[in-house]
Amino acid sequence: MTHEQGRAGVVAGAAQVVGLPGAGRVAVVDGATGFVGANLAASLLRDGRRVVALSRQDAAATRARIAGAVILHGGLVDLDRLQVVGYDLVAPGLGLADDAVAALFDEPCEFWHVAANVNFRAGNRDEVIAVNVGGTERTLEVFRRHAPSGSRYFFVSTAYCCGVDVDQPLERWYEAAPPSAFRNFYEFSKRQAELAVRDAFADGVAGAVLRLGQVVGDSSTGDATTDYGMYNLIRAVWAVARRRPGEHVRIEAHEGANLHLVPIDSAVAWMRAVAEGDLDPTAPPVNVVDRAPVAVARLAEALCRVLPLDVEMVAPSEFDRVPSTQLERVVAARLAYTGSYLDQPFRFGRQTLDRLDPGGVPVMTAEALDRIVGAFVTELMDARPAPAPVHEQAASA
Amino acid sequence: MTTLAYDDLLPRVISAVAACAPDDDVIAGPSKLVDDLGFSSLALLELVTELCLEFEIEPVSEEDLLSVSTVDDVVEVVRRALA
Repeated sequence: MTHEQGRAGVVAGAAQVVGLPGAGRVAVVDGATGFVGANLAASLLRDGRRVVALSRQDAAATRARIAGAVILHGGLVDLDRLQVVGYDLVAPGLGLADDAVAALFDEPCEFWHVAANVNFRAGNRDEVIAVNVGGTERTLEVFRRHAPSGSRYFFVSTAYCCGVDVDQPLERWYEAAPPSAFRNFYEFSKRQAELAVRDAFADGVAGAVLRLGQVVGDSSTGDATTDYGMYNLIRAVWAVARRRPGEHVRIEAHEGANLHLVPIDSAVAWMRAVAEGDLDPTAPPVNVVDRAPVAVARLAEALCRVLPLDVEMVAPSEFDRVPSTQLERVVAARLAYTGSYLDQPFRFGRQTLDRLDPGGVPVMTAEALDRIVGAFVTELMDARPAPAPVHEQAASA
Repeated sequence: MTTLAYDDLLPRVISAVAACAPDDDVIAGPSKLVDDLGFSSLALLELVTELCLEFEIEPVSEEDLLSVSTVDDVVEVVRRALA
């Protein structure tokens, strides 16, 4: 047997994987300082798993980030089981030295490719493609070359890589499409990366693709460490509220627009439920979304409860009947990259999670939404209180 | 409308930049938003919001946003918007 033949990329299949429950394996997590990666690592550590965090940041910063997620969710965790390894997603071989690779794959593992460049600016296209597509290809290459038989590869993608023309995204592979079929290059890059993973699965790699909805704060505390998705909208509204309290602001949104919000604790629980199940090597990607989406009008209500601003979601046909105000144009500009997610209602298929139905996973209730929105706004207001009125600024100058 | 001079605008622009900058660093006119201060695409949009609210100007265009590199560039964008 050659070196490669004993490795995951060539021979791993469903029969071998079923015999190796994920519960005991070492987990290799890249992007471990990100919101999802840190919480995933913390969850695994809490359950006694050994975790190798691949990180571009130094070990202390990475450990602090994961420890923060551990504290957030409570419980005692032995961080001695956490090892941090420096890596570079855009470097050949992930920039890992031979001895580091050998140590990384000294036993069957779960490899979690979570790292991604979440940049929506068109000018960052090349960087986004290099990290999200090239980086995924490199993780697959390293995994297939070095991971022992029985290892499994999990790719964290986005439910929104379905593109702009699909409002009922199913759990199936989507074919390659030009950038114009997506809301941004991030989605385009995730579609491309998924196809690279599909090819690897067809070639014998075992694992799953997990398409996340909008991951938000913890269902019980509301705490989050991310600025993406819904949080960009909240920040826009908050910025206006702190400087122009009491104003009425309309935001243009499809009348049926909804947000598929997934509390971080639920996202991690569902991701792990998939990983620890019996994987079908021919299975399509899994939509990791909640059963019921949140209407954007409901989000506006939650914002009005915690901010001194009258926020109203208005359908495009109604919006144009009244000239927009400067504040409304400011908010619209702020949503330049994320406002397109308000343009259509989505109804994601979630057959896999419905079938697995892991018990005890929190869902997005009205109370949880209020808690999550409230926690974020409180954090914003603590960090940057409203500026003093102009006359007070002048007096103190 | 009175045209504000660079020296009048810079402190207010720096204050807005500081409020949105992901990285703690000394901010001056030549500071590069992305390379020195860690601005992401979303942080740049947040900066646009702050500037619009601070100076009561219309949002800058995508083209203007892409041309912004340094704090001095931001001052120039604001100056043009106020002119």
